[in-house]
Amino acid sequence: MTSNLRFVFYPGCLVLQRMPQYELATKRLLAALGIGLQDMPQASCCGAPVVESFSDEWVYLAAYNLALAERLGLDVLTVCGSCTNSLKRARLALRDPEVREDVNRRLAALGLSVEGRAEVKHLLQVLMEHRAALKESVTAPLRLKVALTYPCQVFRPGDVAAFDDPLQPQSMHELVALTGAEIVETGVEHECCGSTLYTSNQPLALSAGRRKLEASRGADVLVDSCGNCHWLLERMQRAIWAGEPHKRLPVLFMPQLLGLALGLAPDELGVNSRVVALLGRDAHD
Amino acid sequence: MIENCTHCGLCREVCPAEKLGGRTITSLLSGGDEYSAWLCCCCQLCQEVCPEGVDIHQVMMCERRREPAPDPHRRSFENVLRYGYAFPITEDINAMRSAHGLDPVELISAEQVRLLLHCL
Repeated sequence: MTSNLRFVFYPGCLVLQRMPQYELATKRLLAALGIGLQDMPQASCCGAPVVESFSDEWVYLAAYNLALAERLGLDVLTVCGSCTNSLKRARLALRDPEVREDVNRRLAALGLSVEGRAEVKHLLQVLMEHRAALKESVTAPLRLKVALTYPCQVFRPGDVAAFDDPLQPQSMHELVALTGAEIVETGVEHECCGSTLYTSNQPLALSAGRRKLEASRGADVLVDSCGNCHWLLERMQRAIWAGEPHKRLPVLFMPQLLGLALGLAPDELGVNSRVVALLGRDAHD
Repeated sequence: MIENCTHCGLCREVCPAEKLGGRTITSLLSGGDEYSAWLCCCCQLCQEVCPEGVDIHQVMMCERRREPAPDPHRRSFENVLRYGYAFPITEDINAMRSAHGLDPVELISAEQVRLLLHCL
């Protein structure tokens, strides 16, 4: 695998702390596609918006992670919208020699330096670049109805993200189409999930999640590509559907859905038992 | 920057928080007087559609620094200063990782965090 090692995996805080299933499915899927990936030792928070909301020093954190990747000579693979956005914005900011000099003064104390060489790509971007291989690898076409929710910060600002369309991205549609699954159009695929509202105003966040889930009702599963989306739309469904548990909808991470279509076993992808039952498959098959 | 804002209100029309009844900085930009920049979802849609190219994300981040921060946000910030992550992530994480078939990860040290963010 080292011969095609291209990326260092950047989980971000939320996936590292609470969503090992997303990391697992990402690693299993990329391994199946022959895309080399290694962990990023000593990675930190990406800086935005958690630190950016308080200080311009967020850029030191983002640049620190870029420096770790650069030292390894690898590009960064992200799986959340906010980390992708933060690291891409920092990489752009580092083009300014004054910013770069200031950042490197800070990083020097840690024995690091950064030029901004390491590219930052969200999993969706990497998968789109390998969709021919992905298409060839589908061995277990899915007979599922799938609703989608796009991770907004992966695509915006458009001139920073430089991937897909900033207002009407289509990459998730294209990837799911490869699996044989039927896509259920919800009309709110491109709307922000609202998960970041949860720490400021819980009722507002829950109504945002409810709106998206209600629009997805004709689907067997909702598929996301971001830890923040997943946190609100999957982990908070108990609160969203308080008193209406029958409305709960299974939610998968994109690499879980794609991994299933590649014939990987559900438990290898961290897919929960309710979806396994929908698929009519054994968890170990 | 914000001086270029013509108060056309397009940002408010597309804002997901505004659609749900929240009043964010986009209300300020289009002439509102009750708002909180902490209700911004950071989806950056407002910025993408702004006909004047206002860096609304930057405006919102500046506004957040003027407003009192909600407790959960402040706790996340303090977690970063202490642990290097928005959550109190410690070596214990590796037991959970192991249970999911993931290799242990080496975390950033408190000293590294201090060297990075010692001015905060």
